[in-house]
Amino acid sequence: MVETVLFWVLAVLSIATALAVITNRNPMYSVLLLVVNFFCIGGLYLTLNAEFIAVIQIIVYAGAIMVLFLFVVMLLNLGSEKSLEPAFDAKKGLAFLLGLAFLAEMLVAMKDFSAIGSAKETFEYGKVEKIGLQLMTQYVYPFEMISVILLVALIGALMIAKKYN
Amino acid sequence: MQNQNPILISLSELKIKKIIMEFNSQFILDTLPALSLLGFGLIVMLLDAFKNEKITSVVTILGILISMLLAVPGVVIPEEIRLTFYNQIYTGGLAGLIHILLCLSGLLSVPFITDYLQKNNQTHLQGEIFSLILFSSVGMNLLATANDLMMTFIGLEIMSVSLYILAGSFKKDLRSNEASLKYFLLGAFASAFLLLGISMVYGMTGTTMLDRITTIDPNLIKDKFPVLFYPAIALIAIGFLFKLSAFPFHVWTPDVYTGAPTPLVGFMATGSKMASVIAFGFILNSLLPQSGDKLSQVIAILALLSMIYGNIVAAQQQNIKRLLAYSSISHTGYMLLGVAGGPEGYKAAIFYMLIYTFMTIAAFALISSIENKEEDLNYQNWSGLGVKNIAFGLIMSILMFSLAGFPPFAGFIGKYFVFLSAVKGGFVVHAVIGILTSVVGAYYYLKVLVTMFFEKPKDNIQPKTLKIRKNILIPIMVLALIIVIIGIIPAPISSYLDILYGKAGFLAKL
Amino acid sequence: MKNYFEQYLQNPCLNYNLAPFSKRMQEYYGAFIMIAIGLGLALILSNLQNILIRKRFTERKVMPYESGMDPVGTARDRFSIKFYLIAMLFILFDIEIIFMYPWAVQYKQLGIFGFIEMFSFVLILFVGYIYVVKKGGLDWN
Repeated sequence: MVETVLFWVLAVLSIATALAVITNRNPMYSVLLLVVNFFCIGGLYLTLNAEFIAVIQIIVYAGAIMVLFLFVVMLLNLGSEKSLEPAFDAKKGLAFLLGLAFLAEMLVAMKDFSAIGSAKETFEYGKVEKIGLQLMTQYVYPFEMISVILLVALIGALMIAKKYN
Repeated sequence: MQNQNPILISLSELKIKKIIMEFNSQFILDTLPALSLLGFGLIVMLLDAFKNEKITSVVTILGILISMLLAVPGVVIPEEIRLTFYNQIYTGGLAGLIHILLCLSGLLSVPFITDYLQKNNQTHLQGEIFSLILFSSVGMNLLATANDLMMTFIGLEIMSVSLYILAGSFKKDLRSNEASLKYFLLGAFASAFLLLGISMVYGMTGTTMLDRITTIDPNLIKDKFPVLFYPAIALIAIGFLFKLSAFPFHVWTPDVYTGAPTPLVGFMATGSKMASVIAFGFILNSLLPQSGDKLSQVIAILALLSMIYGNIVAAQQQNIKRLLAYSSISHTGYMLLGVAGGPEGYKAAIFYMLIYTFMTIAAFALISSIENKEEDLNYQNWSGLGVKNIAFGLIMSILMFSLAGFPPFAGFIGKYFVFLSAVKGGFVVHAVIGILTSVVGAYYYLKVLVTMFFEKPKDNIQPKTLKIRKNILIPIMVLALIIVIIGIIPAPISSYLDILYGKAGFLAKL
Repeated sequence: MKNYFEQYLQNPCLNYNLAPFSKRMQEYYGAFIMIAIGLGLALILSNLQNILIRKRFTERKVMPYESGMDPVGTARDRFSIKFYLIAMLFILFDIEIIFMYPWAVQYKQLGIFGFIEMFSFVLILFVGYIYVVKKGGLDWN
């Protein structure tokens, strides 16, 4: 009972803040609402018993990445802008309708859906120890390659942000 | 930790020890091509850090050659396809050849990039660009030989993020910044769709490994597919079709190809497409083991639309890079028609990708050789250039004829195989319309040649550089020669592809 | 229509053999209480004054404080890009640290094998670190 209420509160709040992020005029408000969104998603991960991911979400996303967003917003020095384009035209209407169609399709597709196979016994695998065991033995090759993607991001950050003299 | 089952924990510890014991040096030997590329990427980074940028291009070429050499044993001694590294990647079968093909696009574009950077006084970028090219090749290798869907995603991200940064290398050029930003934003969206599809597939089957997805639960296929399968596959397809720049997801292609530095476009356009089409074929085959399913018809329709759209819009372009970008959308259409056409078609698609690699890298390299300012890219300013500069005219005619699909050149062989397999797969209408749009393609390719050869030169708007620089003359001539040779005698390569494909095991059931 | 949505109103986790929610979340009660106290305290401290006092604003009262002088210009100056670079590098190395957590809790079970893997992971990122230092990414000129 508590779980269902908590899930619905967190889900509605995360969707509401996500919508507010994209429709808000002031970029600073958008960033702060995005932080709330990440906290809600972290809460959703907790209800799904993925504890490691919930904590990582808050440390990395709400902690590090939102700081970066705030720096970028302050860098660009944006004020609250009036939007330059009409709020709603045929293209946006069509996109909205297609999105609704996708939502309806997803609801129908998930109607009789029940997870099969080992997706049922996932209640133990959220803990850090389990993730550690799997990460370092079964999935060691993707793990090493994650260092490559971090390296690529490093080169990119330096290329973009450093002046050459 | 009150609710942890002690029996469950100790069991998994024993399992972990067993998994650790399974590790043997065969894993490292199998992944040595990719790891050597990674090693050379690190070496180039260190060279750049310690300010030895001049030799980075040589080191890059050396690294890619060594990596291709390491994959040669798998190609010379054909063996059955098998899984390796805890069932994360494939090796054997086609995997060695795929690695060599992917490295080829990096190898061929390095000399042209070096020369272009020298011409534009941006040699300080050498170290970063070459290390990004090496890392991107690592990503392409992971993407193309992945068994686990997580490996697919990580390979895709490594490849894509490197390409986003490469597209924006020239920081002072506004077009380059625009290209990088558009590519990044749209690419991030496509990756999000891919991830959603992967998570749905995992939720349905409980595993992310392609070889087991349909076999892990016997109830999965016996009754029928759960309805969720089709949206999941559609989402995964959206992710891959974006990278392939197929019709509804092509919007990034013209802006990115126009804005990015010219020889880098050659690398971007060829390597990522080849890796994506191979991964796409693997995933489709694993998720839908019965052939002739609805999905191949959908792919054939998308291929048709890509061909029509690419060729018709390219006919109205004046910027040669934009023209080649739209024409690459149509080439994607030809390839997808091959992918839709069954196992024969998949072979034809890989062959077409190889030829497309040669043609595209040579075309963009040739354009970069005479590009000095923005107006040089407008091919209507090239009047009489073919007569004044014989080498340029000759090589450009070889490339244009090959891209259009004329007989003595390689493009014809590629298109022939693709359309043949499409007709064999039952997509006759698509093949016929494809050939008709290919005629439209011939129109704009030959228009470039007509402007170059048959129009009187107007002196005030000529490109200044009339000669191709010596550094790149020889590589471009070698590429043109390869295109002519493949066009005349395609048999060695295509029959070799057949042999390797025969060892590809499950892939032949596509 | 109602039977379409019934299943969404139920608790989906009842399909799995999970311990009840209150038992699973027992470890986090302390964290939740701390979050609640922190949130409540922050809200109270920042808004208590606004709630309790009658507001009468004159122009002099709401001007930003500049040690007695009149403020010149706006509060928003051009931000330097150094901050962005530092934050970006922080994220990258933070993610590296996060990948060390799962390894660290299972250090004994993973033995020498896990140590070599983590060593190679850190080695690749160490090359990145040398690159950053040599390129002057961490210099605050």
